[in-house]
Amino acid sequence: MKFKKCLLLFTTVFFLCSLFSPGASTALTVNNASGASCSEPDCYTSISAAISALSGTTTSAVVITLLPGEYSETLTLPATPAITLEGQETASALLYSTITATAGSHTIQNLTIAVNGATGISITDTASVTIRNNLFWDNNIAVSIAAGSSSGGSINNNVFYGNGVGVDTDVDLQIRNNIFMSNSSASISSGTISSFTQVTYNNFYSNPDDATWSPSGNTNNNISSDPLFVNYPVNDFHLETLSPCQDTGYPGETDIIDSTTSDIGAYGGPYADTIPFIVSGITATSASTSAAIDVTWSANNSYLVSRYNVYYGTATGVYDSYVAVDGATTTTTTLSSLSSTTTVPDAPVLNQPSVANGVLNLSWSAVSGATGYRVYYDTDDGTSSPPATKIDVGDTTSYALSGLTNNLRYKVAVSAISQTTYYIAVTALNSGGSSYSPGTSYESAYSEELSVGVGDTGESALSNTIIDFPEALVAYPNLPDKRQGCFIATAAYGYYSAPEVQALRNFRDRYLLTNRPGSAFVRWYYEHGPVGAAYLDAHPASKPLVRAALLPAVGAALFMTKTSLFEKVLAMLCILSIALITAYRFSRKRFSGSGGIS
Amino acid sequence: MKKIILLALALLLPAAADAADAALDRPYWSLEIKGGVFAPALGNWEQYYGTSNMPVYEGALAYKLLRQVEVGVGVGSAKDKGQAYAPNHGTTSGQVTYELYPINVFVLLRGIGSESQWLVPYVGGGWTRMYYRQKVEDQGTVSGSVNGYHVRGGLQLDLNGLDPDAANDMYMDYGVFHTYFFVEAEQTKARLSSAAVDLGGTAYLMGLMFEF
Repeated sequence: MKFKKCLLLFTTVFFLCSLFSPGASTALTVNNASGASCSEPDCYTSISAAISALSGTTTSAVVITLLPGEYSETLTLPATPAITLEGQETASALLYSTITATAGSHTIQNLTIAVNGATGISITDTASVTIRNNLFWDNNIAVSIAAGSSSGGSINNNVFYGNGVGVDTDVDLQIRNNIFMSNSSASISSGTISSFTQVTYNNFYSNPDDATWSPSGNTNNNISSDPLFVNYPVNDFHLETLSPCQDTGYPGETDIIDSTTSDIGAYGGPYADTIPFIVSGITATSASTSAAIDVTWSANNSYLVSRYNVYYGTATGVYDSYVAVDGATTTTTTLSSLSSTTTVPDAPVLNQPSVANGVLNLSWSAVSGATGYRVYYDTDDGTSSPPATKIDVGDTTSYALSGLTNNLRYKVAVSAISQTTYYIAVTALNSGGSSYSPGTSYESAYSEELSVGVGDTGESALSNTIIDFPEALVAYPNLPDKRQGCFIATAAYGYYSAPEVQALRNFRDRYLLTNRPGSAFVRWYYEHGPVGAAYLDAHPASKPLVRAALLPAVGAALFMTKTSLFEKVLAMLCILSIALITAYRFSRKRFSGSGGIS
Repeated sequence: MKKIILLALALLLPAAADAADAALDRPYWSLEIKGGVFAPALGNWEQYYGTSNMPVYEGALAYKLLRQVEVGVGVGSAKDKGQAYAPNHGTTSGQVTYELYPINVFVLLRGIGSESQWLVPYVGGGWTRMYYRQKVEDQGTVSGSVNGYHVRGGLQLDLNGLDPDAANDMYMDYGVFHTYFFVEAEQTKARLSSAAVDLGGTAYLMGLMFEF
């Protein structure tokens, strides 16, 4: 009895110990997103930390899944345990460093490997690595398998695009269902193998050695055709509807998505990532009928996409409803029967603006329930009438009211508006058999979120009205621009940023520096102007006189720079008419005075 | 003042005593890297820029005519952000970025008599061309330059004595005879008569000097 009790106690203690001992998990996640929820021992923020955690803790095969992110770690896979390094989503798990394996048996799948000029995966000695469903671009050598009759593995269903060499191997290993495109030196190269026997069902296109691997009538089922990627400049290597790689891969395997014969490329075969590429080009506008929103987006041209889900809700990032849109080419829908409520928020309080050159920087108090604000302004006419010109400035509590005339008084007020706002995002879905429910692995991530107001808008009363004027600012210390100075005007008006000086500078930039005689005059002035400016600085009593003398020039500069062509022509016609009438009257007076024709 | 002179003499005495063993093999160049604070000589600076000084960084390369006399050229950079002035409102407003880039051509006199002297006082000065740039946000940028002069003085501590092995490595690997840590004060005058302002000021710096 005593023995049984001891045995029971021992068993219990052993069970509890094994339950709470920090043994390594066989499925680890790596998430390096800033602020992501990730805690060990199941989640790590770097791949090397996850691999280090495995050291000596387990001999069972381990899967390390990289969540979407950019990883720049030089990695060496240990001899044990066997590691499967995979991306959750091929195009979004980006690895910018070399993976090296010298021993053991490993798998690398569903990653984008872009090392920028170095080798992507290096396999040496006794390592055997299965490389499948990856995207390789911008590597010097995408996959290097060297020094080793013992090295091995297989290279299936990958895309090698824009590398120096796709695969450089000293081993005759299985290379199947891959697309080699635009690799500058070679698709496959070897220093030791005279003939490859397992290079089958690949597409070699636009590489220097296409004819070597897919000669006309070859029996290895290799082809050489444009694979018709959806949009490879943005890393979308899915296949379009008419792609020659569709269902033309190794017939002994089927695609995970549609169960047909395997495609050639990174999204074919039984281990492909099933998540479609994210939807882009989304627009959302209020429909002509009330309580409805028109939504459009750019088509996802992958031949596997068969449906879109349009999600919406009244809080950002929280979508409590969705509309399914069948058909990959249908890229528009209307969200209708949306509920809306109208409330009138309180009026905000407008603060005294800060001023700048032609700008009044407004700020006001936030109002509970407001979904946006409306700024009203007008030139001050001395009455108590509210300003009439309005601008919807969105859900913000500050706004730079620009394009104003310096030293002209404006009256400004602001109101709060409230409208029911819907937040919208779109996803694409692959034709994954019967699984058509949101959130499955056959559905893309949400697109960019847009917001649209629907229904009537409730607007508060106007805030307090403030009267103020913008003006050119003066920096401390008030320094001259020695490269571009209007020396005399600056000296006469006292500071460089005076509006009159600015007017002359604008005239110089538009009418003098744009032609040769004008530029010559500016050069002459820059040489001699400082002398006049120094005289003015030494004799400040003469400044009012110079200011008066400059007045016509400033007026002309303002006229030339602030008026439209029509206004200029009109003014010229007026001046011409006055001149002609004056000349005519003068000539009549002369003739009548001299006893001529009368 | 007397105390300062006595201290300077005390520092220089061992140098003079060791001057006889000065080896023929001596450094001919020096490179200075330093940083610190620059207090502009502008009366209302703090009102517009918030603090009485701004960070400054300088570098200089000099050739040693003699062991105690060197001539060189240096460049610096100082930058600060503050507010502009709205003259008709009588308030500060908007944002101003103020930058200075002095170029100094200088002569430096160093009180050194022996390669083993661990504390070296120095004074110097020369011509300054002060480049400035000033940007008022959403309004425009002005820039220009003005002539001026500067004087400076400080104390250098030879770090070779602290770690002879590292000093030996520096010499073997890079040809660096001495590495000095130094502190110095620098006074610059750069008067812009058209704006009636002095763009100079006083800088307090520390840094490293490598002799090679």
